[in-house]
Amino acid sequence: MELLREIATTIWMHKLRTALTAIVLIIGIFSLIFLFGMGRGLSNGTMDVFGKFATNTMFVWAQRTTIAHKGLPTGRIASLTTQDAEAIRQNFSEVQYMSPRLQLGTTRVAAGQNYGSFEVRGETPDLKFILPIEMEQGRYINGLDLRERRKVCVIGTGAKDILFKGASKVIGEYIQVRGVFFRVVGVQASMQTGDQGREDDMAVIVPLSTGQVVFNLIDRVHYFTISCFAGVNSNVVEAAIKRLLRDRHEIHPKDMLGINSFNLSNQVQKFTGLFAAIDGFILFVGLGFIIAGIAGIVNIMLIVVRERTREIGIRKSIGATSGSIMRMILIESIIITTISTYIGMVLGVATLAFFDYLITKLEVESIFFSNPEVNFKLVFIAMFLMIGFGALAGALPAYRAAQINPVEALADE
Amino acid sequence: MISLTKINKSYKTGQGSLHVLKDVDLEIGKGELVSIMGSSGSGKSTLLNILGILDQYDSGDYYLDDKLIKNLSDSAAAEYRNRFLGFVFQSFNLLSFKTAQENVALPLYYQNVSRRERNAIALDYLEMVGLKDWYHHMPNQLSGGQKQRVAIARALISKPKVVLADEPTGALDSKTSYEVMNLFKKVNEQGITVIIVTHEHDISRLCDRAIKLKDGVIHNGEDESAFTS
Ligand SMILES: Nc1ncnc2c1ncn2[C@@H]1O[C@H](COP(=O)(O)OP(=O)(O)O)[C@@H](O)[C@H]1O
Ligand SMILES: [Mg+2]
Repeated sequence: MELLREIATTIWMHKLRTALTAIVLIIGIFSLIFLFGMGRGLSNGTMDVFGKFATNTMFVWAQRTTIAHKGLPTGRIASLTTQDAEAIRQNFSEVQYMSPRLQLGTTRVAAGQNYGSFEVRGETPDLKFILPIEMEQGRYINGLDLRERRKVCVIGTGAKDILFKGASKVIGEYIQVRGVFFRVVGVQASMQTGDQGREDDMAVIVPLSTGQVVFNLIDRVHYFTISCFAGVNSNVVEAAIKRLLRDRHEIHPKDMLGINSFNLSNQVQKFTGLFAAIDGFILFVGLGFIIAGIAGIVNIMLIVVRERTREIGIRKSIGATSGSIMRMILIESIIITTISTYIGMVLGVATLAFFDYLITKLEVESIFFSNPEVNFKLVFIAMFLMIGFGALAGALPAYRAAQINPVEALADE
Repeated sequence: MISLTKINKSYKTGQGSLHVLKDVDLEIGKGELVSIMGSSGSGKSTLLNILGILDQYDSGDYYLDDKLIKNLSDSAAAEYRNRFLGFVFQSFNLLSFKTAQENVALPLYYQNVSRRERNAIALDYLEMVGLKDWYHHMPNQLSGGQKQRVAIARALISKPKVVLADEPTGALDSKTSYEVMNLFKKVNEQGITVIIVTHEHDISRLCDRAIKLKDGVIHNGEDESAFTS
């Protein structure tokens, strides 16, 4: 306690000297945290684009064939069916959710006096678990809707705003699609940002079976949205499903376009890898800053010790042991490092919080940047490391100080 | 109190070594007030630093209060300097960032005396040297004579048996020098052994005895004029 007070007064009486020592490290820690936060913001922003998408989701569809097969010419487009969906479900236990989608195209939809053009889709209940959507009101399409071919629908929030201007409750209202009335049972809101999110917000969704009957597309399906159980290698499942569909539709096994697909997990993996690389780079740069900070402290403390040679000589002449001198310099170094680290940390976190505030408050909605943040665990690990580094940085200067010969230190110039 | 026999001390220099103290024999009794006289470079400071256990000697024996001072550990030497000896320097050697009171109290810090207590004691010693009202001043707000009185108070606060002063009046005018010497006399009257290094006869005359040093050799009973600087 007395030692701390003694050191505190020394630090206080040499504010400029201490500030200079501290500033190098403050900048180092600040930069590290700021860079990390920005990197994290970038990665959060990008991952938001995927939203709460089940990240092992794939899409499978049919395109024009490119290889003639079993006497059939190229350029055919296979018609996928409800039976294909049944076959996939029976053959692949790895599949957790599967939703065949019927695309009825962008169609005029009316509700009373209001109308607009919206993408109309036929869906099944599983889709709710795959797409990053939330129910703003009511419910999603359910099994009963599907079995009884009910004329019900779910509309996106964007569609709701246009079709029911200003009305807050729209459940039970009716909309008209190609002369057929559908009762609204739910309003969906996408949790995704960007185009994909907007598309889901502007969609009108009917039960797949109802769509197939009402629009005279019996058993037709346009594509499958499939997500696998966690831990399943979705690439393997993807390839097997395509093999099954090619076989069922007389498409050459090597006709990659005849049955085509897109696997989201590959995208996610690419980005995850990219951000790991960015994090690694930032860590590398940040460590550089920290090492520079420590080297700076060692250097300045050495200069300080030389500057304080006479003081140390005086202290020794009135009874200070070498050990007490060593402790004094060491603890001074640790205090300066710890306080600098703390200040740098607070500045870094505050700056990040300010950026976050700007982004949300000014609605600077940049798709690829959101919620810059830092991992507090990391900050604390860094903090404890810094105290260790403070001791490390102080060790050499403290040893030098202890070795000072009082006779030489007190010699009159 | 102090007994030196055949003390030798050399400094290593660039070319070789410089033999500074040559077979120095010296006896100083308890409660004496002595001066060490000699011209510049004669080895006075070297001798005083050895007496103060700030420096080590090469050969011979140094007994302080009947204890042989040789190859002391760092902490034993520190303990002696802290409790047994008091130093006063020509250039005062006060800590510039501490007040007069804090400077005086510093030796007690190394005896783990609490801050409140050591500051109270320091105030008593400042009163003794006539600077009680100056306790809150920084060294750069004090005159040379005042600084030296603060330094003397610091040397006395740990109740030493021996006070060692290296040219304590060297940086002071003659009036202030006599005031400081009066203070040393007062200290000596309390039974403390006082050893003052000086090259001024006026100062030396105020002491009980003068030890004369020339080129590292002690000359006693010789003509004073041989030591005029
Ligand atoms: N640390 C040292 N290294 C080398 N030579 C020294 C050192 N200290 C003193 N000397 C030399 O020793 C001699 C005696 O010095 P000193 O004891 O300071 O004399 P005085 O105090 O009588 O003037 C001088 O010639 C000085 O240059
Ligand atoms: Mg000298």
